[in-house]
Amino acid sequence: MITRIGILSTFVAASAAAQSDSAALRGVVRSTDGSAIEGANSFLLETLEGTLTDADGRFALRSAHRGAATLVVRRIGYRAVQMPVTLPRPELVEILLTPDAAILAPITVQAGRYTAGDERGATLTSLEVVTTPGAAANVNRAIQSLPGAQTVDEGTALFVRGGDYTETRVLLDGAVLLNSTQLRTPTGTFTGTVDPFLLDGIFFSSGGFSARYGNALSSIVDLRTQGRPDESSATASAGLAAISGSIAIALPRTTGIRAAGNRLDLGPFFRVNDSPRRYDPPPTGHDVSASATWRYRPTAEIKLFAIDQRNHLGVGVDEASFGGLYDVAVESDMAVLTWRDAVGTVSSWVSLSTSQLDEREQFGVFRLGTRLRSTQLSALAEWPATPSLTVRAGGELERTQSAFDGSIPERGDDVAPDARTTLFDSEGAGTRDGVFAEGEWRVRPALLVTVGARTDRSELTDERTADPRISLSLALGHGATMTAAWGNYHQVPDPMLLDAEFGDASLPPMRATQSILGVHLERDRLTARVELYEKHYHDLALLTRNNEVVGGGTGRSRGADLWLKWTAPLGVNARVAYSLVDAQRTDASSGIVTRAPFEVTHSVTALLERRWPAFITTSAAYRYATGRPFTPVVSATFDPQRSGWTPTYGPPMSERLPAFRRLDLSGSILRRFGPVQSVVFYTLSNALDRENVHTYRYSPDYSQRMPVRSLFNRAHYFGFSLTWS
Amino acid sequence: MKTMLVVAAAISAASAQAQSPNGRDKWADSARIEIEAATALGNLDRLRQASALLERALTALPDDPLLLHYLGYARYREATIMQGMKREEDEYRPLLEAADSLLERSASTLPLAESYAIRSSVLGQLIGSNPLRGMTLGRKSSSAMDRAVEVGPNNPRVWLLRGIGAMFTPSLFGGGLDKAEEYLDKAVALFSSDAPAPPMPAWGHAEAYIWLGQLHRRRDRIDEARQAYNRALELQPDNGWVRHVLLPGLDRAKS
Repeated sequence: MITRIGILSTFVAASAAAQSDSAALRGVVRSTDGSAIEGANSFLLETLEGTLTDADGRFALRSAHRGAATLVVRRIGYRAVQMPVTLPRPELVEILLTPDAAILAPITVQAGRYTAGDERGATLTSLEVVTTPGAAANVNRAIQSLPGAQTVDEGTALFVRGGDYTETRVLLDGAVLLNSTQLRTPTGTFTGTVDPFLLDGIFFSSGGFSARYGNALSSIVDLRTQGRPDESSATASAGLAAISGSIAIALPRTTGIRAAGNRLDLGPFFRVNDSPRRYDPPPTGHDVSASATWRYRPTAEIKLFAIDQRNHLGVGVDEASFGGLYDVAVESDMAVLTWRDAVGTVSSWVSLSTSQLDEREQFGVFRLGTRLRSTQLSALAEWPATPSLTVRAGGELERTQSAFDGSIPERGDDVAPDARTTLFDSEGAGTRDGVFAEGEWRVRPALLVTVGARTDRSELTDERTADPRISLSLALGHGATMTAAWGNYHQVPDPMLLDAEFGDASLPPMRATQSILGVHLERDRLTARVELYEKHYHDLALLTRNNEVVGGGTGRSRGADLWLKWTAPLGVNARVAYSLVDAQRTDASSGIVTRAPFEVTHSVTALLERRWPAFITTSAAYRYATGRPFTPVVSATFDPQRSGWTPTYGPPMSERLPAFRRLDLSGSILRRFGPVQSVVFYTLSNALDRENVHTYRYSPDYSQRMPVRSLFNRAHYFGFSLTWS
Repeated sequence: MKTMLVVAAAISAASAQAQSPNGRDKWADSARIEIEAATALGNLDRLRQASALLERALTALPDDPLLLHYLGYARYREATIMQGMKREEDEYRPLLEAADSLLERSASTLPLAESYAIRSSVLGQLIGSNPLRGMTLGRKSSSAMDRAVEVGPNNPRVWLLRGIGAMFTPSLFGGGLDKAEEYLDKAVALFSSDAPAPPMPAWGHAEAYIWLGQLHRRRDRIDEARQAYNRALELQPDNGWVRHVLLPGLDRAKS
């Protein structure tokens, strides 16, 4: 009886509510993480009648309209949803809003993924890239301050998660950069290729990247150049080692052009600062770049970007067999034409590029000339098939032509002028095609799964590869997200290793399997991320110390990365990146699987920045890294035939260099004088004047081992920049 | 209730005529009135209602520059009120970014002086607490204001926003209280003959006195400040900020 009364009273109450409420449609709007969305604009397309959701995400829409209608739900920061409804509708409508890719995509946490730019949620802002102490406004060095990147030498090459730097693929507007670093010396490269002021955004994946990216075993750097300038401006900068200028012209009718030039000369720098090495010539170079953009609709753009670079350096190097200048000269250029548009709900992007590199190296009898040319066509389309599923598909076609000539010493440790060498002069060419498809599926409000696969085939290896990949992101609440990724990755060996004369033309594609598990925490003032990873390598192409190419190398790499970014009161920002890695791979010279030559067990970068009144900013960065492993020479025997000493090597990778430590300090002052904005900056690199060791050299009879110090002692660098607008 | 009536009236009128310029003007005018009232009261809900109204209108007229202008203006007002309420930057920054984009789109086809001036202010707020962001956005902000003065040399809202901007810009960067006073005085003078026809922007008269009052307050000219606030209340009697915050603040300062 009590039950009957209960049912009856419920029925009466419901009927009364129905009669007193004329809402034609009721609904609830939630975000994909399950939280209610307040203030979402919910309306009928046919009549434009609408209302806003309350704090619980609920709305009641009143309308006299009856029959078929279209419900539209919009909220700033989310993709609008449009769905058919029949009015009146007694059932509650549930609407799920996905964060808008244009506004909130960077906050979508994915395993191994870091971004730099001015968008919300970026790991580093553009200015942090420029102002990272010791980074010298260098993109690669700023990326090195992110977790997963190891400090293997003092250069700008990107060694990521126990992998070689050749396993990192660097793209510019989707096109492959043939030389991602410049001014190479035996202990590292001086600088990256692309000026950060030319860039609009940087995407760095330390692993677990999606099927969109092919031909890379370890990591991806995807650089995006700036689009149409909003207004005309001109900038002139001068520093102790470089002068540069740029101009941006906003033309009528949504077009614009940019041009920039940069001249690098480290001569003045070495006159102010001592260097333990001799240079002839000091590192010099220049680059010019230009772009033209036509934004013919707010969502559509055609852009042409071109860059030409030249650089040259000679640095003194002492080896057991020879002491002299290591000389390297590089000329490179690149042009990329990109088009992007959104028609209806489909976004598409196409890139056509051509790039070439001409590099000449010489040290003793070692001479190597490398000419590479790459022509590439890439395309991508994205379609939000349903509110919870986005489909992407695309591909690339890349033609690579290579030519090598020179003389390589028969024994890698003997470059003396009278050493025996192998002469070679060869050319090669091959085309690689790759296609991929992936779906990004919001399975539940808190769970995002990306499943994809790609297949590639290169004429150089004559083998088609298949790479399935999956990643997931699960919101745990309270700003915490769990991430995981697994996938197969293939990469065509360097054209030189596949060269018929120098290398082995039968090498297969190299392969890696990556697994990643992580947790990301996002709070008001704190961002933290921990990731565990494991990689297994197969079919690695390797080079012995005598410059012989061997295939079939294996290896594995596992470790953990930690990232902390904290915004403290009083304008203080702090960042800490820590990477732990345990990496093994086949030692090419002995065939033994042992420590990888770039296994830097611990890498730490800690950075503190303080903004003061009067637009003064000061910052400090401290870097620590375990010394990298090397194979020591344990004895030597005299070879009367060539009148020289032949070294005997100890167990491969059985010793380590001393740990690397460095403190960099920097400061800048910003001022505005009418239409001119000025920035004066000063950096003290290696403030503690620590003599880091980057390799060892030996006496001619190998009885003595001497450390090769850093290219730089404590060094001052200063300059200014003026911008007219 | 008043909000609902205005919105309902606008909807019933505009749903039939949405595609016509006349319909567009009704949408724009309704939004204009709502934004003005909501801003005076510091009422975020009403501002969001006005934004919702404009979003719906823009569904029917996707590229209408005046509707885009008012939506950008409403977003800017919402963000400004949120900043005054000490909300987290993450909450209001998307509103400022949206305002920037909407005003840029609007100005590309309808070069209203107000669009440029508001955009200048939006960009200034995006610089926010990070002066280094000023390296890129500062240039854009000042050139937007230059463009506003070029398009509307006698537009009082341009001088009002220029004056507000100057109050928060160090003199080294072309701002300072002297400049602010010069600009705000000019705005007040220009408002006396300002009579734009609906649905064009007509806001700011009371606001000019409010900011002039704050400037006097900063310079310890309490009587001048009170006079300015009272003039603002004459023009906008329901302005809660003046009535409940600024005037009582002057009383406390005097006692």
